[in-house]
Amino acid sequence: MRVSSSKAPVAVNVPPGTVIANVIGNIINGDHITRPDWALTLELIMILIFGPYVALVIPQIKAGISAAVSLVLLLAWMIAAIYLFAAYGHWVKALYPALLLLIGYIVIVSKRYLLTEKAKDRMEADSVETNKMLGLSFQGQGLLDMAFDKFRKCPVEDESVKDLLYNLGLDFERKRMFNKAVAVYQHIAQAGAFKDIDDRIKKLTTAGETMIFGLSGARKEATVFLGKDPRINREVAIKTLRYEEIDAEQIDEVKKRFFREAEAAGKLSHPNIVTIYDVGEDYEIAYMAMELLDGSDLAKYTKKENLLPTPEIVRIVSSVASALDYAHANGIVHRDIKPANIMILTNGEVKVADFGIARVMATSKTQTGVVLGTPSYMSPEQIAGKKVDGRSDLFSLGVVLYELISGEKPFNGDSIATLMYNITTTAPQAIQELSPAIPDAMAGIVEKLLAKDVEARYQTGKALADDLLACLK
Amino acid sequence: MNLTVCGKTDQGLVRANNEDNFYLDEKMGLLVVADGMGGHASGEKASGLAVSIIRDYFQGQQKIIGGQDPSFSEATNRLGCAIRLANQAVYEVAQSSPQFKGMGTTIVAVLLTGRKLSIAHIGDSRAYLIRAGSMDQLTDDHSMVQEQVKRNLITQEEADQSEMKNILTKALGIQPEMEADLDELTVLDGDILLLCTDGFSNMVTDDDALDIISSAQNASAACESMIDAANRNGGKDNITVVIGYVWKEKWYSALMKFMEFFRR
Repeated sequence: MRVSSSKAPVAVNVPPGTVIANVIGNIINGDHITRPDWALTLELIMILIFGPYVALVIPQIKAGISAAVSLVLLLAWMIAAIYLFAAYGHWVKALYPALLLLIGYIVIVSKRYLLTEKAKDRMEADSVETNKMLGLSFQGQGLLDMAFDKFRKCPVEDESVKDLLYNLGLDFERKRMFNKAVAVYQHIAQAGAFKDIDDRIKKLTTAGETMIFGLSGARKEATVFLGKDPRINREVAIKTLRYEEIDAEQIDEVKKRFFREAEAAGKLSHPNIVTIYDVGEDYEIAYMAMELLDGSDLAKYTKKENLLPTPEIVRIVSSVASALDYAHANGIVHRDIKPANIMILTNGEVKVADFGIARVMATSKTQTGVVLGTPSYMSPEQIAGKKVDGRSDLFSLGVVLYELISGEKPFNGDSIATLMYNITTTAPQAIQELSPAIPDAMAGIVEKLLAKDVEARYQTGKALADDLLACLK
Repeated sequence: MNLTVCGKTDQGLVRANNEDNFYLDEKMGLLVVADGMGGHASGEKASGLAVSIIRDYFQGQQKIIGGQDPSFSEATNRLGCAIRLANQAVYEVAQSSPQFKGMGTTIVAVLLTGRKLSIAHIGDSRAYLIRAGSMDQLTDDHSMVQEQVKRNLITQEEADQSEMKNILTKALGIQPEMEADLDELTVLDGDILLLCTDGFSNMVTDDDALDIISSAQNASAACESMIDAANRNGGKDNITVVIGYVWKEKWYSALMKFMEFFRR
């Protein structure tokens, strides 16, 4: 047994004699700390246990468990060492195994954390690569929209992504999907100029002489754009019809119809009718350039809380009546008079828009048997599928008038069938029951407009306008 | 190990279009066969898309995305990953538009890396191994009747006659997540691989197929006569067969080539 150390004196200012006596006393009594022979072996064994534990076990088990196990091991080792020291005076160098455990644990855990971060980066890089690959596959299969979706998920600043997108744009052009091509080029343009995309965008957005530069709204099967006529720098609304959205079998029929409509409406020139400037065909779209209107339609004034004063109603409806009178005199029936087709401009002007399904009466062959229009505003003869004339438009205008006065539709129905039945057979609720304030003459006009019998109605728009204006006097 | 491959597809006698697709890459040792399903032309699209995505994956960087199965080699995991991607792509397209709704495809793909053959499949397109004069099916069909056979509800003979033969329990592109069944084996010199769609396996028995393959002069002739046999038996569905001969370059083959050169 080696004597390695002795107990130290307890106080600070102990006289040297006492210290010497103390030391000698300790030696004689064997009252000193010993370092047993097996201490080194124990330390080595503990290092051998903790080393493999840190290197092999911690990486395999979950973070929470490894933290708990490591803490328990550390505490057990420290307590054991302290107990040996306190109870038996055996000095074991507890520090080295404990340090190994502690530092090893910290290293392994932080390494694991850093590595998973790296793996995440790799996964993100993967997903860009994956999106590129999937996009190319989709493009190869002709699924250009899906390809665009995938490429859009890739960073557009990347030159290789720009190249992919550019080729996709060319593919869209080849398929004559010009609006999609423009969308692709515009997506590239976000990251600055690239090849000839600016020229391409310009080329593709110019429809005939009229430049389309933004979407202003969509209506039915046609889309309305805001455009500019470069020759006289006039802003116009452009209604387009995309052939790609139409079934191949129907395309000729729809095309014919579109041009017929445009031609019919183009002949009309009246202050209360939206003017058609230009009509044509370019790439895969047919387009119609119209007067650009700044205002809103009548639909919001048919709500109970927004009703207009009677004189204003009279002014609007009589303007529409005179527009219809003019159109009817030129052989054109609107066939789709409804609040959404009557525009009130910010300067108060009234314009009848969208002679979209207006037909030249002379070519009434196709009219027979075709049911068109919004059911609520359709006339009994339209519902019956009979030939219609201007008096049908006046019935529809009567429905609009009724709605403007009362905020309610004269004919209602849970289903289209009931609605149709009501329009053809039942009389509407008397307007004065809903709006007692209106003049008797107005009630008479409404009643006359909504007559089921064509002959009992106003025969011309002018007669209606005159009667309406007379109400105000 | 080297691979010599040939594949043929045929519309069959009954169907109006061919919804099968396949892809072969001798150098890479990749064979893929897919049998699409879905209305209009969407079946064609599904199988075409799946095959092209697997092709593009192997022509690209081949990074493994998603989980790996440590019990298989890296090559097998790559094959599984390619199919996982294909499933995702077909599923996305199917969801994107009503005209593609409900489309899907079966897939069977093998990849030869060195001596290891990785096999992956979904659905009822099959892979066979012909070794030493006998033919073994390497894939278990994901079909209703196969399930019934597994559960001993019906016998294999009954299964072959079953009305429900064409009902699949798994297909690619039907669900957002789908894992292929993976398998591996070690090939030997002289092994022959056969991949086919149900248009062939339903029309021609395994024994007949083995006869045709063992008597054929070369891969192309074998494919030709396998399609003829399926059509002779009715040709009720699109028929696709892909055949791959596994061979080892002999140590003296360079010498043989050298001799060949002088003989001319």
